[in-house]
Amino acid sequence: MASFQKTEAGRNLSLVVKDAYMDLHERAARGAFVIWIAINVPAEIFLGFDDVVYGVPESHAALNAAKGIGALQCEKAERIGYSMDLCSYARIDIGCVSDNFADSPTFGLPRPHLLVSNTNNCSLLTKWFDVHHREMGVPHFILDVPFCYGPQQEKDREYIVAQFHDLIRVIETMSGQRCDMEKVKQAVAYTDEGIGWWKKFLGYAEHRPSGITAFDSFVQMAPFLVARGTPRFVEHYRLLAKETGARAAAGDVPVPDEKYRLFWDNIAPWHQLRDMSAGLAALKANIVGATYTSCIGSVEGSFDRYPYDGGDPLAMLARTQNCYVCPHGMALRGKAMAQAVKRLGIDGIVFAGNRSCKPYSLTQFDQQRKMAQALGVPSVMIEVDHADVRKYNRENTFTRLEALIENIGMQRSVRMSA
Amino acid sequence: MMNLLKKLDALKNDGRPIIACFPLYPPLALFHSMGLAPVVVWGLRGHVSGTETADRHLPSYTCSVARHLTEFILSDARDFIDGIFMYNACDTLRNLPEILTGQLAAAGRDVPFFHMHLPMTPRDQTEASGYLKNEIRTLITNLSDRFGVKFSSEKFQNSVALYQRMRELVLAVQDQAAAGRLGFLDFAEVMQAGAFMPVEGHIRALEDLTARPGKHNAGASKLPMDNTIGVMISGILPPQPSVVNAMTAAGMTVAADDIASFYRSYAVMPEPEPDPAEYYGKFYDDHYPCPTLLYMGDRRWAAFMDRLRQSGARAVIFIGEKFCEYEYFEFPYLEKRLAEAGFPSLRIEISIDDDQHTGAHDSRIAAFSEMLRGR
Repeated sequence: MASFQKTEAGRNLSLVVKDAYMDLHERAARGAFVIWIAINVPAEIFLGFDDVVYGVPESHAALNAAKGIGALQCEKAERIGYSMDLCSYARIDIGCVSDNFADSPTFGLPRPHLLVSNTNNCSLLTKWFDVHHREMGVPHFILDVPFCYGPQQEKDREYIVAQFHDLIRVIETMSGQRCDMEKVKQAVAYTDEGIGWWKKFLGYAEHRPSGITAFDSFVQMAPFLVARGTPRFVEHYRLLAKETGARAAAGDVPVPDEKYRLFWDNIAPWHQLRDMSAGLAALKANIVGATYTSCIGSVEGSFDRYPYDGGDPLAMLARTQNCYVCPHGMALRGKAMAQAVKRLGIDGIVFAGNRSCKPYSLTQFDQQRKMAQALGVPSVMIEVDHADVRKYNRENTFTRLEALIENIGMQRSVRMSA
Repeated sequence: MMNLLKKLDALKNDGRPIIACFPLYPPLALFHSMGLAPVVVWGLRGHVSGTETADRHLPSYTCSVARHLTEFILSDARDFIDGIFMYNACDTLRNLPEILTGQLAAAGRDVPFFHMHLPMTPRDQTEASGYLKNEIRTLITNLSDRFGVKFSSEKFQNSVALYQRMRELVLAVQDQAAAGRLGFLDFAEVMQAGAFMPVEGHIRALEDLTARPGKHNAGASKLPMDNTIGVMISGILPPQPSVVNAMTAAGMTVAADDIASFYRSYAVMPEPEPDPAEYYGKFYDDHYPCPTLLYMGDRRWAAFMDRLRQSGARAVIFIGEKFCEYEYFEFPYLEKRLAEAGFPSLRIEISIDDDQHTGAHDSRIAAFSEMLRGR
């Protein structure tokens, strides 16, 4: 069985998140310039300013879902006219704002001076932030990141960098503060160093049995959203990687009797992490890796770390804007996934069709066929919603997961008897 | 289905390479001027026989636009298409090209994919005109390389002039439909057919419609116009005939449309000029606001209200295309502002399965009409 004892890194994670929200509220109350950003807007830029803080509505929405109040918040948005078919993160966020974060586990987010959305993970973020822009009368900056079907092109990188400069100018004008590029550079370097430890942590999935579950990695993503570009970010991931390594060496692993090694494709179903992890462990299965967590700190088409060379920090931030799975096409996604499946010795892939994330889910049927053809690895398609538990059916999901495991078992038997 | 395939067949017989374009505002005049035949694969409901092929590739929570166009390109139109063009729009559409070209390749068809990134940054935020110009010029080069066609400024200006003429006719026909002199369904049919015709043919069809409006009255009210209630319809797709018929039966007429493939496509068009990069800079910057053009969100409400007030419509019916996130994020805001301005609105949702189940819509439209008459 998986163990749910909190590790030192687990306890530190809670502190990092709690302190980040406290810091956000306290500094905002003292007059800091507050920005709400889409999840992949490079927060390192804000660290170039003395008194700019940021909140991430998507991260706050995920936290609501993980705490079991996603549906409650979604319903608030639905009551004021937002369709149940819209992304559940957006509905949670709009629902939260509709009653001034009444049920938020973090006392919400402080009112923003500026909204910064982007088009890379999903274009609908722009429409979502437009809702706040119109309702609150707060300016909305749109970072436009061209989708790429092949490696990111120079013209697109230059276009993104130009927008970063515009963003800096807007913040300088609105906040009256100056951006110090040396500080931005330092922040990018901290993020890079932290990502090095993050990749090391993910690397413990190569051990047999795996030193981690993907569910651990989902939860441990939080510092990316609240502490990027800081020494604390580095410290946390160093702690996480070292502790995980030591535990793995000591045989203290999440699924000691691991028999089936699985790979996950999509955003985490935040409301089901514990149940799904425990349910799979009971079947001697472990989801050891995920596209969602592996893509961080890479560039499109690879999960390898893309290191910072110490040069122009904005160029570095622009170069990695397409790394997240959604801003690039199926061929690139398949390339990175195939490498990970081979490296991790994956027995089966779980494609989690996500009703709240079309950009992640739309090509999964084709990707599933491609992976079967290219790797001969069995897979299954399940249906989830990353934050709205009302769209999740546990029985259906586990019936399919069990079928996948049976399939893997059968293939093994055939191979052994051959 | 027969109709559109016949049109594709006719285009094929003309010898021009056929470029399937999506979403709604591709550089049609540029394609036309280079000897290509662009068709806009949008709103194919009723023109494809099911979605069996598409459903092997797309999840059930994909909008009908994407499912129908996938079905169309991969099945019925598979052997007609010579190229696919797409610019960035929503999260669904941007993931389609690799599915389409991959499946066509598997069927032995080497169909090139042309892509252009339309900058989505608000124009007062980021200077992106140079980027867009480069995209247009690259597109011209790629088309030339692939099809052996040449760009000519003179031909381009001639093509723009033809599209201008078509636009004038569309607006005139819309006015006639609003005045009850021809049926909205006839107008809609000519518009849909126009997406699969050379612009010259579309102009002839529109001229025929304007010359003989009395002969075209599908979807027109039988009541004297004084007794009807004018409403504006808004959505990413035009309403299916059953909705228009329900409106007519309830004593309503379409006084104006804010439909993406109709008015939003033709409301604004720049004057011809020799440089297509300059032309399309203006074309996209000055375009009528549409939720799919993310950079013009701030202009949407004012344009919407202008259109509504100028039409004299008393209310708005939103035609919601299920799973179209761009439209659905805007509906609550528009509904709220309309209510504040004293305009009632009704939102109906059309899903891919709704062609056969229209009873609920009929009842809601009738009730809405009664409510308007009681005001």
